[in-house]
Amino acid sequence: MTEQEIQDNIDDYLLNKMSVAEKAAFENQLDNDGELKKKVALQKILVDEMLYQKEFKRITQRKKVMPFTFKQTMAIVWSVAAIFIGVFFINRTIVYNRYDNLYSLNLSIPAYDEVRGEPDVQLKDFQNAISYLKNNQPNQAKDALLMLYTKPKDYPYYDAVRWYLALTELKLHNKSEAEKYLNELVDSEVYGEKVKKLLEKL
Amino acid sequence: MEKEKFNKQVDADQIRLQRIYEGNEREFNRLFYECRSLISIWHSRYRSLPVEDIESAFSDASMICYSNIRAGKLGLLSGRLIDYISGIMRYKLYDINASTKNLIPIEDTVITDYPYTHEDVGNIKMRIVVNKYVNQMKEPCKTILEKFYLDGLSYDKILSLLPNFNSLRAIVTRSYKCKKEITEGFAITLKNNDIDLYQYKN
Repeated sequence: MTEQEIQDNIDDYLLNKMSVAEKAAFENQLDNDGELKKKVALQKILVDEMLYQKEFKRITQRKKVMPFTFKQTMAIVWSVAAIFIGVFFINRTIVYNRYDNLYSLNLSIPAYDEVRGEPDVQLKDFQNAISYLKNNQPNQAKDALLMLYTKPKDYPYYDAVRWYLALTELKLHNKSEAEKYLNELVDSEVYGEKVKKLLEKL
Repeated sequence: MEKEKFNKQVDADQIRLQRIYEGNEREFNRLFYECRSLISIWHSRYRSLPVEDIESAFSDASMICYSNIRAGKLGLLSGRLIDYISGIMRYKLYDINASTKNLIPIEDTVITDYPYTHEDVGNIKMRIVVNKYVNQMKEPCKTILEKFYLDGLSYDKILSLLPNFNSLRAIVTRSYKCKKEITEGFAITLKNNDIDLYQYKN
C-alpha cells in the first residue's frame, strides 16, 4: 500500500466515509500497526481541534443569547396581558362613547299637548315608556317598550316603539339589538331617513 | 461562598456541560458571556497584567474548555465551569508571560480554585499545545485542510478556491504533503512539550 493510499484510508476513516466492514477492518489494522495508530490519533486531534475552533468562533461571534428566567417570562406575559386589557378597555370606551353620542343626538322626547285633555290609554303607555328614557332609566324603558313591541301594525305608535327601542339598546351598548330594530324601520315614512343615517354611523 | 449554593451551581453546570457536549451552541454562548466577568476579575486583581493578555487568555481558556467538553474530556465536574475556565486562564497567562509564574489562584467570593485532577491537567496542557499548533498552521495547508476536513469539499472544488494551483494533481500532491508535514510537526511539538499522545485517550 502506498503512502497516499494509507492517507486516503485515514481520511475516509476520519470523515466517516467507510462502510461498517471497511471500518472494522481498518480498526483491526490500527490495533496491529502502532505507527498507523499514532498517525490516525495525531490527525484526529488536529482535525477535531480545527472543527472546535471553527464552532467556537461561530458561537462567540454571535450576540449574547439572553436567557429568560421564569420571573422575566412572567413579567413579559403580564405586560402583554396588561397592554391587551388596556387596549380592550380603551377601545370599548371609545365605542361606548360613540353609542352614547348617537343616542343623545337622536333622542327627542315628544312633546304632548296636555291642554287637549286626558291622553288615551295607548298614548299613556307609550308616554310612560318614553319617560323612563327621559329619566335616564334605559332598562325600565326597554321593558316598557317591549310590552308595546308585540302590538299589531295598526297600533299608532308601531314605528315609534321600534325607534325608541333601538335608541334604548344603543344606550345599553347593544349594537346588534339596536341594528335589528332599526332594520325594521328602513322603509318607515317617518323614521326611514333618520334610520338610514343612524345605521351608517353605527 | 455557601457550600449549598456552590453545590447547586456545580449541578447546574453539569447539566449545562452535557448540553454543550451534545452540541447545544446557545448553551455555550451563554456560558461564554457569563464568564466574561473573569476578565474584569483578573484585571482588578492583577493590575500589572495588560488587559489584552487577560482577554486573550480568557478567549483561549474558553476555547480549551469548549474543546475539552466537545471531545468528551470533561465529563464529571468537580467544580464550577467558571472556576475551570479561570484556572485555565492562569495556565495561559503563565504561557504568555513568564513573569506571571508567581500568580496565586484567585480565590474570593466569586471565584474558587477548581480541583483539577492529573488527567484534567494533562487534557488542558494538550489542548493548549494543539490550539497553538493549529493557529500556527500556514497557508495554503490551513485552507486545504479546513476545506477538505471541515467543509467536506472535494479537491476540484478546493482547486477553484485556490488560484495559485493550476491543476488537480498539484492540489492533491500539496494536500498529501500538508497532511504529512503537519502530522510529523505535531508529533515533534508534543514530544518537545513532554506530552505523551497515548496518555491522552482519543
